Amino acid sequence: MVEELKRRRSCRFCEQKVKLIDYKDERLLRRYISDRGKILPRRITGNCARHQRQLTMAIKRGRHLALLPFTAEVTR
Amino acid sequence: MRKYETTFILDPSIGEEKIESEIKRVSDLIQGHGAKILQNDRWGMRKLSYPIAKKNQGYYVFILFEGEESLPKELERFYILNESCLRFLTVKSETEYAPESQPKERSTPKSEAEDLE
Repeated sequence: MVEELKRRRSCRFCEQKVKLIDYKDERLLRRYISDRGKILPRRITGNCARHQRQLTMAIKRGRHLALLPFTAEVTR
Repeated sequence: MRKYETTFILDPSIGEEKIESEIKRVSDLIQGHGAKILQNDRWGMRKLSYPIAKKNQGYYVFILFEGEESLPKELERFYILNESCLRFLTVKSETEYAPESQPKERSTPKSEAEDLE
C-alpha cells in the first residue's frame, strides 16, 4: 500500500476537490497511517500542505475516539 | 448559534436500557439549552482501536446540533461527570451535511479507495 502511494506526486484530495477531511471516515484515514499507526509523511503521500494538515487533524481526532490506533496493537 | 458535532462512547457493560437512558439524557441536555438536533446517529457497538478503561468495545453515538456557544462546555462537563461515558469529542461542524445525509457517507468515491487496497 505504501509503495502504491509513493509513486503518486499529486494530492489526491485536491484531485477530488475534497473540501474537508472527515475524522469519522475511518476507512479513508487508515490508508494514511503506517502499519505501526504512524501518520504517513507528505513525501510519501504526496499530499499538498493544506490537505496534509487537515489529514493530520482528522487522524488525531480519530485516534481520540478510538477509531484509529495510536500504535500497533500490543500482543501480550 | 452555530453548528457543533459531538460523538461519545458509552460503556456497553451498563446494559442496553442504561445506554438508552444515557443517550436520552444527552439529547435532553442539548434540547434543554434551546439547541436543535439536526442529526442523531447511532453507530452502535464498535470495537475500540485500543482499550479504554479496560474495555475493548464501545457504543458510539454521534449528534449534530445547532446551539449556543456555551453549550459545548456544558455538554463536556456532563460527559466528564458521567462515568459510563468512555470518550467524547465535540467540535465545530464544518462539514456540509445534506438534510438526508447518510450516517457513514464516505468523503471519497469508493472506487478510488478500492484501487489502493
